[in-house]
Amino acid sequence: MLLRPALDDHRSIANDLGRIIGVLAIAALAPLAWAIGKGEWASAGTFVLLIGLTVATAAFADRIVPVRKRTVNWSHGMVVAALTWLVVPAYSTVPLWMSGYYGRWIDSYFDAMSGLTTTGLSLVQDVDHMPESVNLWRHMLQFLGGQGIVLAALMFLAGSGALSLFEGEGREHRMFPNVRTTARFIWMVSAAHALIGITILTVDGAAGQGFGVERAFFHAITVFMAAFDTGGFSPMSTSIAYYDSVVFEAIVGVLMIAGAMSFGLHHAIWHRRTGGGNIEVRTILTTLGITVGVTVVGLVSTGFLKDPYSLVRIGLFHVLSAHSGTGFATISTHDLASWSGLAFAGVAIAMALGGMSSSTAGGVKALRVAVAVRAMADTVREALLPDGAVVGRTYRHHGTRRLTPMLTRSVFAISLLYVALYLSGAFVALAYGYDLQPALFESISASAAVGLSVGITNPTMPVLLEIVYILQMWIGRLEFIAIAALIGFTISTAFGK
Amino acid sequence: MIAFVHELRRALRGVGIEALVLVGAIVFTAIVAIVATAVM
Amino acid sequence: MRLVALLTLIGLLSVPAAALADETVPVSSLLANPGAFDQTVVTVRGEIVGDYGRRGDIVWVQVNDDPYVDLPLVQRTHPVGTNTGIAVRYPVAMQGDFGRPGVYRIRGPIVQVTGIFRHLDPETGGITYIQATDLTLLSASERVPIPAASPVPALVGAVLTLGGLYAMSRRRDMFPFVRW
Repeated sequence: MLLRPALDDHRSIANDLGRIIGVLAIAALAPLAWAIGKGEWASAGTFVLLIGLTVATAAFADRIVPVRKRTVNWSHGMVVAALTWLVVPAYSTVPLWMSGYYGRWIDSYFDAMSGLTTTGLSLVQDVDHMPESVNLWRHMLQFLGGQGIVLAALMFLAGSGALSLFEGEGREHRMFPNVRTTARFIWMVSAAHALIGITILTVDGAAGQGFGVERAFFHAITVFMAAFDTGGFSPMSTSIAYYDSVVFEAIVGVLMIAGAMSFGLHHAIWHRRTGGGNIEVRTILTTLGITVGVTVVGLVSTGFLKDPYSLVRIGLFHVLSAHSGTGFATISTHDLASWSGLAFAGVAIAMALGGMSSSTAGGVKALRVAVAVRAMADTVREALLPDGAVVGRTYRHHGTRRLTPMLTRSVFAISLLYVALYLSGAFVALAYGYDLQPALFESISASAAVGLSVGITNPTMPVLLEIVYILQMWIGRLEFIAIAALIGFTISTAFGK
Repeated sequence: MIAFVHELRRALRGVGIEALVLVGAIVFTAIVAIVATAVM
Repeated sequence: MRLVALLTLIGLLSVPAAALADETVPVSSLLANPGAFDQTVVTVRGEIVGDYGRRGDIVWVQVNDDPYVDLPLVQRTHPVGTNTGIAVRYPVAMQGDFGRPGVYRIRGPIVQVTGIFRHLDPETGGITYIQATDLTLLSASERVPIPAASPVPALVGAVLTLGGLYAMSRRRDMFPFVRW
């Protein structure tokens, strides 16, 4: 029997959503200031409008939706997380759509969702002539989505429902006794990397690339946010190829690695606690090595690249971009689409596996891969041992943990759901007549929040396919459970008694 | 503020390790690339 | 038969290579079929966008030849596609007073570039670019006039912001009679 949620449940959700949307108002101050500084008056107006809409929404949720009894359960947090990632992109489209650089409103929603989920697929047109403030906003969405709008809201929110909000985001690891201090640490790591990364990129831009300091700073800020948050938007239409520089690519490479690392690992490094090894780190280094090897061999065998220097520079960069879920490219879309055979396999698998858990990367994620592999090995061992022998296993992940059947089941379930997500997007593209290789590639790219494109994503793409990718980005980011909670909540609201 | 500067030192160490990972990846890729181009 | 072949060969050899290359190639063709143009001389006409990159005595730029070159987006009613650009490298000596590369409200210098197209050039670690042998300025950079910004969004936004902040600052429910 379905129980309809109480009105207070809806009010609680609206209340929390309102607060989170209010955070967007603060974020919009930065591009507003940039627009005023650069004299981009039309854009400045759109940011003021965005601030107005978000503040009004927050005020409405705060004042006109009074909450007499706060809901603090797990599923409430999940529902808020799922709705956040649908509603916040809608508000974010205001400056994007009004800039005039998108063909249809849904294209700007696509970009907003892509930015917030740190995917990086883009439908922007004539980005090379886009106002800097609007371009900055595009990239800031990646920073917001990566560091988690919910995180910021958490720092101001009280209540124990906050933890499931956090989990609804797909971050399982609790480093600190309470969620607030965890959130603060994540912001600290991000801020420190931002200071270091933006400075180095600006210096390289000005000294190494010969850009003017102002432009170097603009490139630095945008590229930093896209790299560290493993997003993949770039301020220019030719992605990282624009910078024509090995040094720049190397700096970006370091930032991509930083972005794909879990915050738990950042914490361990910061506090010099690396004792005992970590199954997730070992796994991701292994999969990175394998996918790099497979891709390089594939590039050589198909004749795409023949010299070691290019193989390292282009091969490693793109596998790193794929595995970290960033999505930067230094070759053209057409060239990437021509990667076939093992090269395609290496990159596709890297994208599908994804980065570490509790990071901004997407995909199945290394911890699940590690546990799944360990569980499969256990199954084989159990089969080989005499009847009645039981294999009890532990694994090292910030301490020793037990490999329980429930954990194994959940890991396999989510992993298979990801595979199903990858395939369903591919099916839709196949229905539109695309070939299997690009259809699969683009679907994995959207679902795993990577952002590498072989050309299917473009302003002339079919709207239904566009919507499918939007849903894939949304579902992939939330790792299924929050979506299920939202669906359950909606059904019980509609059909419950 | 002072706390942030303190954290910055840790961050620099973190970035150093991340850079080391990249260097390791470059070396690994170079080896694979050299072997692959030589053999194939 | 052999005579015809010989005459054809002589005919082909007497056409200077530069004349064959004077036909402008769209960048989209270079991107779509790089193998066909690799190591050949091509001519491209387009707008320099973004920045002048400079390392030592080499300048590199991105040259776009999409529809926005001749009619910038800010002067259109709706966008007409994504940018198509190609990297161009040229010696500093060729750099003239072209003006600012294209950005928002600035249409960058329109140039004609002739050079050798290199696809995934091994010498440079796999970069795809045109190594320019000739660079001619066709139209210097110019500021694009745009209509004045409408104050409506800012006004609406300001009103909403002030109203919202005011509402939140009140310590009691604004509209206690509102029921869901």
